[in-house]
Amino acid sequence: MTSASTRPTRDRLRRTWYLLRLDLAMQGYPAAQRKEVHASLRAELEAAADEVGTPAALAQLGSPRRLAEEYYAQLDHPCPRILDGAVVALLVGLLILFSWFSYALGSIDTLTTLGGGRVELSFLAMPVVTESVVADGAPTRLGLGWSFSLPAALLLLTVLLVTFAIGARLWRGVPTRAHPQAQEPA
Amino acid sequence: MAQEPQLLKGILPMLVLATLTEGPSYGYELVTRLRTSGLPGLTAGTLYPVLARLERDQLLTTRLVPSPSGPARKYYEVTAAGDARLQRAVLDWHELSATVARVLAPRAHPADPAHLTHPPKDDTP
Repeated sequence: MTSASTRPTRDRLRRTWYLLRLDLAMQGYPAAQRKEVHASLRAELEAAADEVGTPAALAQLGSPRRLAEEYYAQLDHPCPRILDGAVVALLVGLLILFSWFSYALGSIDTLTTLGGGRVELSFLAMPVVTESVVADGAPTRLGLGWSFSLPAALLLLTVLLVTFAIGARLWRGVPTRAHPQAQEPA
Repeated sequence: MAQEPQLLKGILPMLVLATLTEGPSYGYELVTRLRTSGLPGLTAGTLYPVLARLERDQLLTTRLVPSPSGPARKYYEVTAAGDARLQRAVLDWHELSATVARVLAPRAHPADPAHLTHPPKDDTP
């Protein structure tokens, strides 16, 4: 029998990695209960590893995502997925940033093609100034400027909040007649 | 026993309570007990969430027992409420199984030789 302290480092790393992935998959689970699940599983994995080894003990749990779904299925109410919402909002934010840069660089390219110039534009309510100075058919100076207006900030904030709410499925946290105790018990 | 996953999930809480009334167990030990009872396909990943649910519903209570090989093991025991739930579940199960047996009565059991369409040839003179 291998005790926890003498278990190979590779096995401990495997277990830690598994529990980390499970924690991520259970990020919407009530925090206190998630800690209990984590502690219980850690002890059960040790017990199972004593009998069948760490790889087999982990294999019997299935994938962390699937195990998390099993735990979610045992709750009386669905939970919002806060981390999912944050990831979706971040991706949408990056997409907006990428679009903004593409738009600005496209306008600079157009100015250069037209022989240079300066133009004030607006992208998603954000003022953008682009400039291209061309000499002898080649650009000698390119300029890009912007300012952050209140409408642009409000629009961006609204878009990010809506995508966060959709990604996190925030409506799941709203108590309903069917699930009146959606909040975590004290 | 059949290993239909949805069927198993429906009766697993009852089987857990029934098994634990025979003696407390930690999670992995309970997995092996249920496997030897006729559920060889049962996985720890199916059982542990059910244990968490039963504990949260106060049908099971737990106590930590030190283990020489690692962290303390969490032993599960049936509470009075769990025992009462088990009694109700057993009654419900018998009622349901009687109904199912009545409905399926016209059909022969697949393991029953009478079910065979081509019975073994009788070579006796």
